[in-house]
Amino acid sequence: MSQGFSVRAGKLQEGSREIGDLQERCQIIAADAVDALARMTGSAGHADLVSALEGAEARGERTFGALTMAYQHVGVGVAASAENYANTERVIAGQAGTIFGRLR
Amino acid sequence: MTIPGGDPEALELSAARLEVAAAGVADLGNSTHQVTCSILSDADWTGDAADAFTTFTGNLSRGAVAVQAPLSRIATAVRDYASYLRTAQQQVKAYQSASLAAQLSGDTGYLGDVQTAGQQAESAIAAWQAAGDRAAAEVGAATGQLSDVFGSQGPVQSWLGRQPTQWDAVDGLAGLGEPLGPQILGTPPGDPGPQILKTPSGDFGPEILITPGGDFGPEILITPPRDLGQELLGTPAAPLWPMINYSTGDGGIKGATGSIGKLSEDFDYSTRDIRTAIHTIKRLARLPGNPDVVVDPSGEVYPVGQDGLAGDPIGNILDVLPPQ
Repeated sequence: MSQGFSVRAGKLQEGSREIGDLQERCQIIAADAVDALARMTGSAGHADLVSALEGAEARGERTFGALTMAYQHVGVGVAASAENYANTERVIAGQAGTIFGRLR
Repeated sequence: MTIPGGDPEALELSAARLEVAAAGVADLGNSTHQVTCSILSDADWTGDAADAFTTFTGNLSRGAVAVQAPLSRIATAVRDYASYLRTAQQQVKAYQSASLAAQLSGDTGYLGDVQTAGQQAESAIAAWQAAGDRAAAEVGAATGQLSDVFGSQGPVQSWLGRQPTQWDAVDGLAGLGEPLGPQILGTPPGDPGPQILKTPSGDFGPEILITPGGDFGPEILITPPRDLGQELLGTPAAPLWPMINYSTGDGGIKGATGSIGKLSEDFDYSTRDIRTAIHTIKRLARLPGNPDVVVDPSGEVYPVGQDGLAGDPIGNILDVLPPQ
């Protein structure tokens, strides 16, 4: 159940930026995919297919929106954890400084 | 006999783009797995929060990879349909040309050719109709696959289900960079004492582990740092919802629509440009509550209230769309 404060907060912070990069990639892919679906809808010329493609476009938008949100959530969560661990290290460092100051 | 509508070249181009996007999202999922593994190992991150992170991102990675198949399925179906559409258009044109030539010449010797061309055109149209039906069924099935990429019981889907509003935008998320929603990825627990005992990092760690004499050691172990956790675990200040909601009706404005695809066609801009333009208008208007919007044929953007009716216009997308 324990969580070690051997955690390297700086690495976690770097990781949150990498997650942010993934989120950006996701948004770019999402825009391309939904744009392609929208153009298909406009070019199909078959009523049932147009209707199906409209549904796919709407669903695609939702799915990619969910993916993007999840990446954002992960990035924010990792950054928050990194900050938390960094704060803990600072507090420990401060406490330790007090201890050693008193011990002198 | 009329030439079937539609643009096979545009369909094939869009199918190719969708294939690229499908490959891209699969690659994204694989990259996500690699990045999250690296984060865990590089940061030497273990414990409950790390476990939650692993579970959530594993589901996320698989979800991203799972988007590839339905997108590819749609691309394949549409590409197949496009070939039938092209053939049908060509055959009907050939029939129309043969008919015209027969009429102009007045030569009854052409009638056999016209009849043959007519039969071929009818066959091609029937094949095109059938291909359209097949493609529609394929696209419908693929759309169903897109609905469940995370699995209904997965942590990502569970988390999404707890979000306060619909999540349908692909660009722009409110409150980027702010804590959003309960942090299911976890933060160090409120009582970090035992963790401090485990392996403090940095130069101070060994000294603390030594357990200094006097009364100070226990104090470190039992007093959790005051700033840990609470802010992050609390309810976020900013709700997580899309910056853009699109209304499904016209809001009572003649010719208005909330469909990005239709607006893209009407204004001859990409859906990305349209989204960005609406996003900009909404941001500039600073409307509370992130309402749905509709756009009329002149580009005016209207917020739509809970009653489904449009309010006063808040701007015009033509003012913010890039020059063509």
